[in-house]
Amino acid sequence: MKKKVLSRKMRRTLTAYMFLLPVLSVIAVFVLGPVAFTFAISFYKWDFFTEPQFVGLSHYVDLFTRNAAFETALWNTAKYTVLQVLLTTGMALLLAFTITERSNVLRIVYFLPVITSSVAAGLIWKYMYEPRYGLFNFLLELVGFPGQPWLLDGQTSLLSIVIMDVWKACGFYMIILLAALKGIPSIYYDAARTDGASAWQRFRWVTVPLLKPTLVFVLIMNVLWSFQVFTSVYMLTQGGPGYSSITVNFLIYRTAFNFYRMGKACAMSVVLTLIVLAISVFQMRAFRKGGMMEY
Amino acid sequence: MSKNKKLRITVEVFREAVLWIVGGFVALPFLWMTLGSFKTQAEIVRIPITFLPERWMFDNFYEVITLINVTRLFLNSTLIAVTTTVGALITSAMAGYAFAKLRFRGREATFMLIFITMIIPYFLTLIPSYVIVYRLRLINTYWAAIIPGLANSFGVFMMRQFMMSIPNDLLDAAKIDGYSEFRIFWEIVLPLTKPALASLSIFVFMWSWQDFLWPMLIFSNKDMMTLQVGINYLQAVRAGVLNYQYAMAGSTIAIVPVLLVFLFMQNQIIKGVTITGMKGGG
Repeated sequence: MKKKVLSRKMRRTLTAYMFLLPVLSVIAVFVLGPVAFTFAISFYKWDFFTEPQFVGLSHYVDLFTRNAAFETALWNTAKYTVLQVLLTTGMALLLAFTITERSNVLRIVYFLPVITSSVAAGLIWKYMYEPRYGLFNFLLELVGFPGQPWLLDGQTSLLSIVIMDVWKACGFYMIILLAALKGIPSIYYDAARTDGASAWQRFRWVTVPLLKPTLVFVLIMNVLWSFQVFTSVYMLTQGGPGYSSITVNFLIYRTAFNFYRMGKACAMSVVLTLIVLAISVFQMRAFRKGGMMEY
Repeated sequence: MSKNKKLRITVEVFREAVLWIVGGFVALPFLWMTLGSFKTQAEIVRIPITFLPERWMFDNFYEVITLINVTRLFLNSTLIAVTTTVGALITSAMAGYAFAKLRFRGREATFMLIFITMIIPYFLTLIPSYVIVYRLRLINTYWAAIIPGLANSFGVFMMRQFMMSIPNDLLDAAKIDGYSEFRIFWEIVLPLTKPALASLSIFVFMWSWQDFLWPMLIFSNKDMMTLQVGINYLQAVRAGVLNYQYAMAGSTIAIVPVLLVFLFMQNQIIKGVTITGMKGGG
C-alpha cells in the first residue's frame, strides 16, 4: 500500500518534469552552462582561438583600478538609465492621462516606434541628427536656436541616444499605464465623490495608490532593460566620440568580439550582473516597504 | 456655470493640443524616412535641406534590392520569428502548466530558477552561447537563431499566472474521466489559455523580429542573415560615402510590412501588450 502511494508520487513528479523538459534543457544549455562558463572564463586570459591562461583575479583588479573605459561605461550606463527611465515614465504618464477614447489615430502613432526595430530607428535618427543636413538642426535654426552637434560631440552624444530611446519606448509604457488607469473600478471614484472628495483628493487617494503596482512594475522592467542598452549605442555612436557614450554592454561587446579579450569581457559581464541583481533586490525591497497594493 | 464650461473647453483644447504636438514629433521620423528614401545622394546632403524629393523615384528601392537580398532576408526573418514564436509558446505553456497545476518535488526550486533567469542580464550568457554555437558548427544556420529563444522564462511566468486562474474542478473532472495529464493539458487547458497565448505570441514575435545583436553575431552569410542585420549594412555599402538614401529605403522596406500587420491587428496587439504587462505586474 505504502509503496504504491510512493510510486504514484514519483510518477507525478516524472510527469511534471516531462512538461518542464523542453524549457529546462534549453535553459541548461543556453543559460546555466553559459553562466558557469562566464564565471570561469573571467579568471582566464582567452583570445577565443588559443588555449586560455589562468590569471586569477587580475581582470577584476584591472577593471576597478586602471580601466578608464569600464569606469566611464558604468557612469554612462547609470546616467543613461536615470535619464531614460525618468523621461520615458514621465512622458508615458503624461500621455496616459491626456489620451481619450476618441484618440484612435494618436494611439496608433504613439505605438509605431514600439514596433519599429532598433536598427531601422537608429538609421533614421542618425540621419536626423546629422549636424549639417539633418532635420533637427534645420528645425532648431528655424525657430532661432543654434544647431547642435548631437552625436558628434561628447557633451551631447549620450543624451541624443536617450532621446531616441524615449521616443521608442514611451508608447509601450503608455499602453500599459493606460490599461491600469482604465482598470480602476469607477465605483471607487463614485464613492470618493459622494464623500465630497475634490478632484485632487480623488487623484491622490484613488488614482495614485491603485496605479502604483503597475507603475512599480513598469519602473523595475525599464530599469532592468535600460541597464542593458546595446543596439541604440551600436547604431548611433558606437560608444563615441571617445568614450562619451560608451555603455557597459557595448564595451563588453567590443572587448569580446572586436578585441577578442574574452576573459576580460566575461569579468565585465559578471560585474554588470552583480550590479543589476543588486538594483533589482533594492528596488523590490524599497517598493515592498512602500506598500505594494493588489486589487 | 458658463465660466465652468469655458474652463472645461480650455482644458479640452489644451489636452488635444498636447496630444497632437507630441504625436507630430513621434510621427516625424517616419515622415522623414519616407521622404529620404526617395531622394538622391546629392539631394540628401544638399544644404539648405529640401523637404519633398525633387523627383519621386524608386531608384533607391531597386538599388537596395540588389545590394541586399531583400526577399530572402525577409523570408529568413519571418521563418525565424514564426518558428521561435510557435516553439516558445509550446514550451512556455507546458512549463507554465506544470508550475500552475501539478504538484511535484522541486517545484519551488525550479520556479525560482526560471525567475532568476528572467532577471539576469543577457550579456552574462552571450559569450558562452556564441562559443557553443560556434563549436557545434551552427554559425550561419537557422538553428542558432531559433533554439536559444525556445526557453522564454517570461513566457513561462506569464503562462503560469494565467493558468492558475483555471478552476481545478475542471481538471479533476477530466481526471475522473480517465484523461492523461498530457491530454488534459492539450485538450482542456490549452484552449482555455488562448488569450494569453495570443498576447505572448505578439511579444515573442516582436522581440524575435527586432532582435539584432544575436543574429549579427551568428550570421555572416549574406543569404542567411535576418532583415535587421541586412539593413544595418546599407549605411556603409559604398566605402567612404554615407548612404542615407539606401538606409532610408531599407528601413522603409523593413517597417512597412510590420506596419501593415500592426494596422490590421492593432486591437489584438494593444490588448496583448496590456494583458502581458498586467500579468507581469500582477
